[in-house]
Amino acid sequence: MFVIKLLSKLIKVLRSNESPAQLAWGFVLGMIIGLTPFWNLHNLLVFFLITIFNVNIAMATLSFAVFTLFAYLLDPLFHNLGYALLVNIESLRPLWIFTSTTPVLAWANLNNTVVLGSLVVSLVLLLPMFFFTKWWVRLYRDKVDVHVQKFKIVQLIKGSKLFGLYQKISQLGE
Amino acid sequence: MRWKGIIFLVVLAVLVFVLNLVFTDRWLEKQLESAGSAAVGAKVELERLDFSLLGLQMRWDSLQVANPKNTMKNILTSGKTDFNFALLPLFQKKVVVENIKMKNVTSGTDRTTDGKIVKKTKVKKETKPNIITKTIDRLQAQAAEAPVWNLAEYGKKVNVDSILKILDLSSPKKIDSLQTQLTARYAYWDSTFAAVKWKQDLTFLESRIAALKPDEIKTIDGLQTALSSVQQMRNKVDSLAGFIKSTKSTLTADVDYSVTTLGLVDDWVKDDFRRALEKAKLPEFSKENMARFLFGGEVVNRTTQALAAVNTIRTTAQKFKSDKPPKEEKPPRMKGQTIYFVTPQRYPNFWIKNIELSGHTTAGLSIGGMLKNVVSQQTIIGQPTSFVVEAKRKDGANVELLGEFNYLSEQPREHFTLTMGKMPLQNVSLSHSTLLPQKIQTGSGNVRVTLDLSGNSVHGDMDFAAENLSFAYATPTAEKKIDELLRHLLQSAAMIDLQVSLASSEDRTHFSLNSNLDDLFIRELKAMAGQEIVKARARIESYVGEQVTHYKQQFEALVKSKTQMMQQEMAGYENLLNSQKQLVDEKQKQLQSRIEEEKQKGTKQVEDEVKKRLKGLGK
Repeated sequence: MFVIKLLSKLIKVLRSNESPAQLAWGFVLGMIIGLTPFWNLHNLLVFFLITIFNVNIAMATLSFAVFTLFAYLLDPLFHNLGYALLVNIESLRPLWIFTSTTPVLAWANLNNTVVLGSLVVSLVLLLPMFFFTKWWVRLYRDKVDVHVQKFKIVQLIKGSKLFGLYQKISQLGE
Repeated sequence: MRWKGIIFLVVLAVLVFVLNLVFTDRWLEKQLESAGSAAVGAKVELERLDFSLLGLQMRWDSLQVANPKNTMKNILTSGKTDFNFALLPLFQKKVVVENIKMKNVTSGTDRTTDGKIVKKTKVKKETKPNIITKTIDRLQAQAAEAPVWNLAEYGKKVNVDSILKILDLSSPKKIDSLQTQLTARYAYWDSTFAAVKWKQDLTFLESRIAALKPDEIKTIDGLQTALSSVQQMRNKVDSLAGFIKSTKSTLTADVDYSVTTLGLVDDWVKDDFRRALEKAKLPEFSKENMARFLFGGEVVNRTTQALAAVNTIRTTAQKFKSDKPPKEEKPPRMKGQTIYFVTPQRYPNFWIKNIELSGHTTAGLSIGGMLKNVVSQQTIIGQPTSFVVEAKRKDGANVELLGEFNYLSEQPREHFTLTMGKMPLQNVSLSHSTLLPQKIQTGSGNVRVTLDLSGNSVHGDMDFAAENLSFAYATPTAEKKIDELLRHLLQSAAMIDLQVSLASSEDRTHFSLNSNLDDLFIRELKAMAGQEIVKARARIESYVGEQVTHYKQQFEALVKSKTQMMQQEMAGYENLLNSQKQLVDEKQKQLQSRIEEEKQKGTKQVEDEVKKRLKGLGK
């Protein structure tokens, strides 16, 4: 159910009228929330950005779901990176002292290895992922979509009662 | 810009605010209770907690903390308490509280519900042992070694024969096995000494050196050839010296091991004797054993509890204080490790400046106290954490507890003093010993305890004096002779004086207990059961000795003779080697001086020849 829902949602989002940039912003902002530990100050900011600006919320949700799984797998890497940045690189020490003592910023938990490691990875990936997603959406719409629509699995999903029911429920929710 | 989004956020903010008003207090109450319970090990309950985010104020109507040892009683309760958080530090994620007034503080009150909690089994982190954990471990080990005496048995006649029949001595077998092991090693050395041809080599060299006669060699070339062969011989001697040296070092290790095993044998014999005594259930009545038997368990238990609490505080303080990078941990997934930075900041992470206590105990003592600077990083505020709690009653009973946790300098220091005067001792249990009655019925006691921890040393003293004592016995009349005797003893004593001292360093822990009852009890117990015990011990000792002596003597003789033989053999080689070295050196010197001599002779001849020819030219 989850995979069908995810696939159909993805196809629906890709075929929507929203611009590739809106979809790409939704994707990268969802990625930040997904990769980093959820209850953190920076995620509140990302949530505001998603809500206030015209980015695709469905894409952000989708990306959040996917990257949460990645985050779980990559956790040791985030921890090691965060530890190295916080402890091993002496020249960065004043920066961490600043972030952990500055009012409000101190609540961002940047002295936590996983928070810092995952946030740094997210920020490094932000622009490359944005441009990649934008390019990929264009490519999909121009060339791939026609072929995808012919896939049996897509037709099966679209033709199934389950999909019909899902469509109805989705429409009710909109 | 998405206007619907902005409206959604506004609605969400209002919703969060309303939910905060309704649910935060309950949520926070649960969180604090759960954290407190985990720390204490028994239920911590708050009633009507009220937290105001806007006013930065927290209050509760009552607090009760269950006693983890007796969960139907409270270790602490307090009435209405309220305090304010400082606003500015809160923005920096720092919790600073100016003053907490805890009124109606009581201790020892009954609970209506059980305060037990189901403890989650936590995987214990491997922590590096420190002076406190080492002291705790050593004290617990000493307590475990304390004698366990079954007094009811001591009046009976000891049947030594039946014990000796079932006694399985382990030392003969161990000696036998060790002898086999060493014999194999000695055989190795015998074969090694038989196989090496050092003697032949050295004798051959000696004959070659002796054959060289520098005086008979007349030419420089001949002398230089001889010198070169002496040099070769020297190399050969050096190479043999290397072999002999490395063999000697292995042999020395083996000899050392053999000598060590002699000590092992003594230990095994002692073990056999001890096991035999244990089987016979024969005690060793000494003053030290008696004090440990009477009070050891209880005192060690309380001391280790206090030390464990200090260790938790010290470890936590060090974590915040250390400016060295923390070691990388393996935190649970998505939790990470928080790195604390020591900075010249204005506020520590957590700081309660004052906690004022006032209330009473169930025994009618009025309590007053003050905790100062409960703080995460003392170095930031430049002051240690200290506390003083006093309790007094009209009849003169008084308690004073002073303490200081000082983590300002490199070495952590903690100091505590507990003084209790004229404390009523009704229903107090002094010991779990079967020698002492369960509880004290009447009497009063004075206690003074000091505990000092400084870096890697721990010092503690306790002086406990109880007087005008009468005891509560399980049965009104003594059923056994020993009980009757002990009752008589305690009645005549009517007082207990106990001194405890503890000194611990990195390497060792000295823990001693003395009480006025030790001598009294030993004298009486020895008189009652002593003669029988002394006889039985002597018989067992002589039996163990008889059984083991033969093996031990045989083993010692083997070790001694073989060790001596191997050392002599080795010394022989060394002497021969040294004499050859000396011989080679001498021959080398002779040859060098002969070469020098021949050189001078040759120079003179050349000079004479030149002079002769020059003279011929002048004619």
